[in-house]
Amino acid sequence: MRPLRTFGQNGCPNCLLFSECGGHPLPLIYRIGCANSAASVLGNTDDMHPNLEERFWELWRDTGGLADHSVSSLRPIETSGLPRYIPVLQNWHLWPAKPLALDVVSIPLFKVIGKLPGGGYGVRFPNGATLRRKFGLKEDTRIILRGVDHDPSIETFWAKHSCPGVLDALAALDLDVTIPNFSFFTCVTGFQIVRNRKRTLLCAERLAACRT
Amino acid sequence: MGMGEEKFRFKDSKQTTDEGADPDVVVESARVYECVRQPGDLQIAKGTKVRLLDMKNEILVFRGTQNIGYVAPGSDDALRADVGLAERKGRSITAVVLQVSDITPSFFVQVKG
Repeated sequence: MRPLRTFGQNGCPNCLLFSECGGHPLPLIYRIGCANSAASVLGNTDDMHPNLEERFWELWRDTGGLADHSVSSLRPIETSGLPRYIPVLQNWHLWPAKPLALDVVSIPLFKVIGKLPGGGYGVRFPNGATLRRKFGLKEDTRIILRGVDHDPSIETFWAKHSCPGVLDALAALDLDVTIPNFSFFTCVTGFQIVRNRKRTLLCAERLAACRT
Repeated sequence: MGMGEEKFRFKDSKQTTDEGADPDVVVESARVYECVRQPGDLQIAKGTKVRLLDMKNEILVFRGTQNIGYVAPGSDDALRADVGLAERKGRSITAVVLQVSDITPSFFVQVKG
């Protein structure tokens, strides 16, 4: 007789995603399962919750399923030559009189990619040289696009990144990119956390693939 | 982001999915597979819409998000091959309960559409 396994409805050890999730850190929720713990609190959430069946499967399919977290080869950032501290330019409003004497800078990814003034979603600069001029940088300044940001930008990126040409245009800038970090909230089910971990991995995989 | 970020979940950060709601590739010819009920006395009505989910080591059957059984060993590899389960979004496909056995804890699902 097999043990009854559910999606977080009869304790973490009986959950079908236990091996991927590891279970809830609070002993009480670990015993009853996160689906039970969160149902009364979350109400009409858009997060992944087994009690909201249609939404649950939609989000499940959106990431290609949560039972498999394998990804293809990734491309690590070349770290040799990086200084101990890297300045972050939050925007292009500095207007320096001459190019900044910086060899390496970091720029928020979502200053470079996002909603376009004329509508649509995409990369706001045609090439790396234009981007460097806009930010007042030298022609040979190395730029690392920082993917860590607030949720609205990251969620929009997830929704739009697979539109035709978006990642290719980003790759054409020939810059380093760190991966957008999807949130690990404490007030959601383990499924949403596993989903966000999978989305982070998929972004890493897809950003790497567009550079090859 | 981190724990403090929860308060910043604005309305426009609502999760949207481009691919999750897309229809799956259609299965042209109807195929029937045997499944095992779990628990064995679980009531399943004919015509119930179910989802078959490939967990790699087995294919589970769900009514909504309730696991009601698994595809019988021997039928699972055939199902994977017939409908290309590994290539489908979320490694899953919907099916309909065609027949429920009164004698054994088994039932049959039809995959089509």
